[in-house]
Amino acid sequence: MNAIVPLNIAAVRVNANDNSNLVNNFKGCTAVFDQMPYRSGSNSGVPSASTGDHVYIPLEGPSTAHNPLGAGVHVHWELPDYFRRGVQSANGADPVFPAAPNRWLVIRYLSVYNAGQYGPVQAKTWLVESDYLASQQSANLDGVTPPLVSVPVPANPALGVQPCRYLGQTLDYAKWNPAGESASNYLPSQTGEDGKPLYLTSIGFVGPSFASYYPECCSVFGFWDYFKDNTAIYQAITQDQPIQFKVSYQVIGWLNDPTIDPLVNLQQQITTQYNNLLAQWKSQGVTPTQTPADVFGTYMEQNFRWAFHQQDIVFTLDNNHNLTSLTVPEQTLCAGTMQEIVWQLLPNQTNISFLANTDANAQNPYLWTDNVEVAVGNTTVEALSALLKKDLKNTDNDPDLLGNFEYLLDAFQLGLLNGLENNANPIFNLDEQLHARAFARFPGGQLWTVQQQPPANTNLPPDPDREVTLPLDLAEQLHLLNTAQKKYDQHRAQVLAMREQLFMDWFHYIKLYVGEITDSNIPLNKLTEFLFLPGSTQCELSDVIQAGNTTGVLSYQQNSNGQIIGLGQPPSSTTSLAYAVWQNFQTLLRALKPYPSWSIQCVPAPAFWMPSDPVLLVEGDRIEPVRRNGPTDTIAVRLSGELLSEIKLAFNSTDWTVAAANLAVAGLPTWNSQQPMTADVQALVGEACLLTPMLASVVATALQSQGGNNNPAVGTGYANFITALQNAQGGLSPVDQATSDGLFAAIRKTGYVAAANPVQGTTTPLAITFTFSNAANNGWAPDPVGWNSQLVYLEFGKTRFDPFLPTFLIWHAELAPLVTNNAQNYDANNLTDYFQLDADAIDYQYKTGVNFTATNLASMQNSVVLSKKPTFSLSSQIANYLQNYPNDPAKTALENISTAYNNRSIMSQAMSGFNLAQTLRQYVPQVALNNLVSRPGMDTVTPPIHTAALTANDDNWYDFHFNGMMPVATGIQGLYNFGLLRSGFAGIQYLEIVDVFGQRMQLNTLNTNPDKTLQVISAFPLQPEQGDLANANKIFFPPRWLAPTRLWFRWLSAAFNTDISGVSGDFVEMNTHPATSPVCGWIIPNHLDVSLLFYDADGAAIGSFGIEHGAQKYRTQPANIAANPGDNLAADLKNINPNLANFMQYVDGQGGTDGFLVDLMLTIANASTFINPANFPQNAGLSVFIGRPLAITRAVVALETAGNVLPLSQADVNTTDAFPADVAADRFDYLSRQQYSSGDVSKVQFPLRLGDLTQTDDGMVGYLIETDSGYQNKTLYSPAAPTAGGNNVVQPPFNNLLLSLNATPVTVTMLVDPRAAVNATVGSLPVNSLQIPPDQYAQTMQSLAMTFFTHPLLAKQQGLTTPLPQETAYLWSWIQPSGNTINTIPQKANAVDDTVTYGYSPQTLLEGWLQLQEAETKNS
Amino acid sequence: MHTRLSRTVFQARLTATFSSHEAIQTVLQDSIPDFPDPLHNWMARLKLLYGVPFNYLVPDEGMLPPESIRFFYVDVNWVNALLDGAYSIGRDLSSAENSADLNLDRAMLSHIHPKINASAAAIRAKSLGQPGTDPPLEVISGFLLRSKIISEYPGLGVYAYEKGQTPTDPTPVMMTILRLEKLGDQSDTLLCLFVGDAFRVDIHEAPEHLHYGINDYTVTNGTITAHKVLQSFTKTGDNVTFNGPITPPTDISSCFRTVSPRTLKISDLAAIIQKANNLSAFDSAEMGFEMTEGVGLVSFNNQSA
Repeated sequence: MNAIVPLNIAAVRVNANDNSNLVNNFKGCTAVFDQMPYRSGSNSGVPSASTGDHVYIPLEGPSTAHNPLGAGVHVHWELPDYFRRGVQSANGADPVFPAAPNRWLVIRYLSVYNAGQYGPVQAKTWLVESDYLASQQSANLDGVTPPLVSVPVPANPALGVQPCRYLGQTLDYAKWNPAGESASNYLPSQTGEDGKPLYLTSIGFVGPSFASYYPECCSVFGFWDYFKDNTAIYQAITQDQPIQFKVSYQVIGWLNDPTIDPLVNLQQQITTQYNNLLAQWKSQGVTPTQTPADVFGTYMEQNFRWAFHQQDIVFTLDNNHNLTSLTVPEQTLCAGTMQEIVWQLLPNQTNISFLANTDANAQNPYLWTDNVEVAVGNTTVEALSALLKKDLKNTDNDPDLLGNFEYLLDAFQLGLLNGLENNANPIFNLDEQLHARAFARFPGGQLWTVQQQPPANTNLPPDPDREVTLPLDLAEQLHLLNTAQKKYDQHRAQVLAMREQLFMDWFHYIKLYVGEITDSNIPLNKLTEFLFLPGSTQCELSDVIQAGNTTGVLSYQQNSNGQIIGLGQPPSSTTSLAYAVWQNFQTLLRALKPYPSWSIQCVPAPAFWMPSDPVLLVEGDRIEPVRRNGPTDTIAVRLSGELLSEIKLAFNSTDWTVAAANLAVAGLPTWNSQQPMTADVQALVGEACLLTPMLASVVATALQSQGGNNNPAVGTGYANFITALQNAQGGLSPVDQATSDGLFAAIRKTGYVAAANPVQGTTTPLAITFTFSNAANNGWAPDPVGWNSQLVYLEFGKTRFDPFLPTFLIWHAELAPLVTNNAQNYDANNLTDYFQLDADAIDYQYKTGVNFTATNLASMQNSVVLSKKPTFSLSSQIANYLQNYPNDPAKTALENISTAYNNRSIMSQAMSGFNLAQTLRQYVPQVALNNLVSRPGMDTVTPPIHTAALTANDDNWYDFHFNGMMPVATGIQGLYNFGLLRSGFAGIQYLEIVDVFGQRMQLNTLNTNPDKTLQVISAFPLQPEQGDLANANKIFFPPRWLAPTRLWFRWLSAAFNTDISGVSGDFVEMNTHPATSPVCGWIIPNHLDVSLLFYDADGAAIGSFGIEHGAQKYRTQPANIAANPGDNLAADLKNINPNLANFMQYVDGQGGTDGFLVDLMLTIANASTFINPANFPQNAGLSVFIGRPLAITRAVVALETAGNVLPLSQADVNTTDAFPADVAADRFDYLSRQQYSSGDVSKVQFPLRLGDLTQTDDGMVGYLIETDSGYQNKTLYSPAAPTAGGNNVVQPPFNNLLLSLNATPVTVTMLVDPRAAVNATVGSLPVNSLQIPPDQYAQTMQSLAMTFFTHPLLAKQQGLTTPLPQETAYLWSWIQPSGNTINTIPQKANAVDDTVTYGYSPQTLLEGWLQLQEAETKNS
Repeated sequence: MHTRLSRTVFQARLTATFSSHEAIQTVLQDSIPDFPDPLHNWMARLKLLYGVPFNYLVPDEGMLPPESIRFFYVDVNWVNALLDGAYSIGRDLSSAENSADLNLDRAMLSHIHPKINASAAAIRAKSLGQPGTDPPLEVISGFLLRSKIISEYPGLGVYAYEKGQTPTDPTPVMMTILRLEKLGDQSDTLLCLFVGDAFRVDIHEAPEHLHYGINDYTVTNGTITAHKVLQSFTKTGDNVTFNGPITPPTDISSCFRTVSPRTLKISDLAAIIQKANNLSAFDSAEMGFEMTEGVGLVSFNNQSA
């Protein structure tokens, strides 16, 4: 049994007019590996460079099509999604794609129109061998030289060997002889530059566009039918002679090597999964809840996104639910048809083109145009919201109103709409989410945590929230491991950046060396030595190799889900950073032995962020959805037994059955004895014969031959029967018949629910009920994806029958970038001069009236493959939502939006390359650095780099795309584009769409801006400031770093010990859940008395600052009066946390007057008004009883880039530009080079805001910036400080805390409400937050010994009894100072009520403290 | 990136909302959550001084010597402060008049106090199986009685009347008693609280103590002298006519046993009563009618009012 996966097939007709007038101006393939220069001789000739730019024709360039479309029908099949998804490995190497089917059977059914009707159908079969390698393009047996796709094979050609081959060949099926094929003629016989065998994938050697773009894969996933086998047709179509015929194509594909079929070992997998589940159910004593078929269904859905009819999976179980047999599909067949393509060139119309632009006033026949609306946003969500808002003529910007559609839609699409009313901070939440989604995430490396051992047999990923609080020793060991890991990760990132730079430098070198370019700024010999100096370490190559060696490579152990579960073999070099990680890992493993329930887990370290490229959303009548593989991620896949093989029909109460096996189609081949899955292939062909209208006559003939009464196909009914069957089948060409319904249309109807044995009834010309079925009465119609027909494209005109399937977007944009204050470099104030971060915002806002953009515009252009992700249906999402929340206040607005959105042709795509262009880089095909450009010994640089790249097996440079980017050094782009701070105003100059077959369409907007750019609708976050009329129609980009950056905002541990070597101070908590508590101490404010009570981290009282006679005064804690009668602060600070002591000394130093304390208390009171964490009720605990304790914590905050490195400028326009200057100064070392060549972006200071007063979920009360000489300005900063701000408690100005990239972290002491997180806002990154885990603060809060100053109390003659509540696990006592002694009198809880016992007089009035402290427990 | 709403505006709104309890109430309108029943029941008990240590109510025993009664008004401010104290758990106490916490409390208290009052009024009614009333608890008065009768006469009853509504007035109205409780099982101290300002307080024996009684009984040198005021009545068929008391009181000195001079000889007594009414026959109903007497009652009137 096999899986039949739907295959989408598209076809265009190219007639002679098209061929001569249009196709040259279409876009052709972009990868032309056969253009790679090489020398055929070994010792002579002009050397040339094997650089990727030679083999790449950018779509956005002006060139004419390479290999233009020939006359005939071009068929392209879209690979199923499964084959187009790559999997990235844990070490960050390039994604690995599944092997794609490499054998394709193409069957053409042809019927020529003659004398008013179509003649008999003739079939012809070809076989496309996708991975066949030819050394040259040559004429085939038909005498035609079809275009072939070139590939860079062999990867490491020897000198004089042609560095390319041609991929794919088409054979007449009858001549196919698999046994006689030589393996060396096929791709798997070759190895890549990393030495691994090559195989065919969806990305080929080009990228995601390979399999999706016909010119790129025409000989691999495409078929050109030039009709040479039919002389009459061939002549007619090549000479534009009148002719009419129709063809249908059926394509069936498979992997010729069954061992790499995606379904290999499937039965084993499902059996194992089921057995594991069964074991779990048994251990839990529950009845099995899933059958093996369910397990199969889930597995296929999760791993393949293939939906099967699970009921057709056969299995047997014994009485104990053990699996005794199971039949699952064993191999994969991809199959689809494209039917009823009519070629009609009428005698008086022989000069028409099938593909030409027929618009009135069309300027170029090859170029379609469309008036579109263009919206731009950081994300599709934003852009769509902006577009719909405009279309609904909604101009309301009031965020309070449900009528602001952009706001509503953003909230809706982000899943925040429900509960917006109940959300404490809905608007800020939305702002933060939108802001965060404008960034792309870059892996930040790995982070180790110690967690409770997860239950066996669960595949749950590690959860940072399951982390445990560790004993200090373990916490320190974990810290050491994570420090080593971070160092390793950062160095790895640095090494990768260095390798990329080395490649780009080599790229420049080799072009200079072979004379492809000249460069008066850089002498070749200087550059040669810069790159490589034999025997010396003083060159870039040596530096890069050294950096790689110092770093080493970690080998991670992964489980079946790809989750890292540990470290494998120790790295070979014991001095490498990788080895240090391994060593620390082993140490921690040993230290964890006494804790069997804990285990080390790996989670991703905090990610780095880059701004995502802006997204364009385009809407126009001619923009058809590009999604060829169905509207959802999941696609229905059939089993062999579900194919249709019979038509049952009821006519005049008589039942008839026509079996596909009995159909006789002329020209179908004898199946090759080595044809795999022959039965299924045969069944698929039979199914096509039952479903294709042009083959209805074959069915009719078979039925006719059955004879008998009431046989509708007998006699004069024959022709009517054919028409009736064709009507039931549907999918006729609009050339032949204006409308066509039938099964073809039925399965496409909205709301169609697939069912076995679909039925179609006809009334004219005969009343027949057709049932499409099979012998087992379990036949399922094909998915619409795999069953296609010729259609009319009315938005292109009534005579347009060929598809236009958008595949690429070409864009040209220009940006007026942020000015650099210091010539070509930024300076420290480059941001703060023009931008501010006020309390109102989470992003920088420019100061209006101050021009901050450079005069010269940066210009960029690129082409990008349109997303193949399913475009979600907004209207069905809205319908779902309203079903769930029928009373949502936004209901009416949402319904309006839904109506407006319905039936819109909307397409969106990120302007990929927008960011990259500003770092003077461009993607380039990854071609190995070949040692074939010169005779041996002449080019001394290329061989050693190539060798170094291949040296380490586990760290092959090619696996990490070190050769993926080329420099853009010269020209206007080299001159103006470099800027690592992306900001400014941009406009879109040009947009064009390229379709699957290379057809083109220019997109225009109804109006253009004065500078000729397209008028685009900017989403809210990309709009210029209101009132900035000069830039009103531009797209505004707030400042962003064009290097992966993160805010390193981490707790400092409150304690450390020196038992563990390597720890000598408070250490940075690497995890958000700190391994050990970050709380240095506690403060409880008493606003009634204006005093601050201090507690150490364990909850023991220390003393308090209060106001006595107008001055601040320290008092020791009541129970300590005897020991410290003089209330000496220094005496109390012995043996307490030094950071807490520092803070208390700081407070003490403010004495003399009451100003500081009054202001601080006011600040705390103000802040607490606004702190109201959402999870407060869950964490009430003791704090309900004692008010709101504040924790004194410390944290570090810094900005770091991936690898702590910055992209270098590649500019080489003038001698003083970065690259020539680096070479001249011999700055081959990356780190010293970046000091000069990264535009000084690391000098720019960025304001950071700590805390957010307007967020009730923010716990920040105040902070102090630590310096070597105490707290900066001796000032406590708090957004809640009194506005006047005297007395060292002030509101922080927006530029109070300035950070620059990769600078030393700033340490802050913070007063926080532990129930809420502290937000750190640096506009150019998503908002970051840090919270003390509830388990840690709850524990400490519970051990706070509270004293309540109480007065007066009445004590009976017999002694003091006080009305006190019982607090479980706590004890009360009365602290009674008496002279210099202190009496602590235990008090019973619930000891007093209102009953009378006389004899208590006389009573005494007392003052003192009630103390509540944790009862000592055995395990405390 | 722009923000959709100025955060400072949001913050200003927040500040404005918490600036006064009226502002909070405006925002909350009808959405103030219900205060949980157990909590306002507990607060209601506190309002009626349940759980307040006695030594705080009577700081010195000299203020309530044995066999004394002390009348008082409950200081509503004092009680509110008591409630506020109970309510303040977890509050950041502040001397500021307008702190957000305080305003929030104020906003909430105006909703909570009526509920507390209703619950307070319902405590006694509920224990008597009566429907609770919801009187205004603006004035509460009461008394503390320290006397042996508290321990020896369990079930003493109290009626209280405001001025102008006493039994001697045309329309007497009994005051609602909020609390009437002996403070402790063996206690000789009774606490009683009324709704309103009590003018006359009647303390009486337990109403269920109906008994046969005579009007006087003296023993002089072993000679018993006793009288009973009998009621005169005549019977005609099933009709009974009452004619008022027989004067002078009938001497019943002969009805006591010699050996047990406090024990009546019921048959002798019956004969005397029969004779006094000239009845031919005498049954237990007629005996009960003549002999049954009500409970003892002491009235206190506020002379200064």
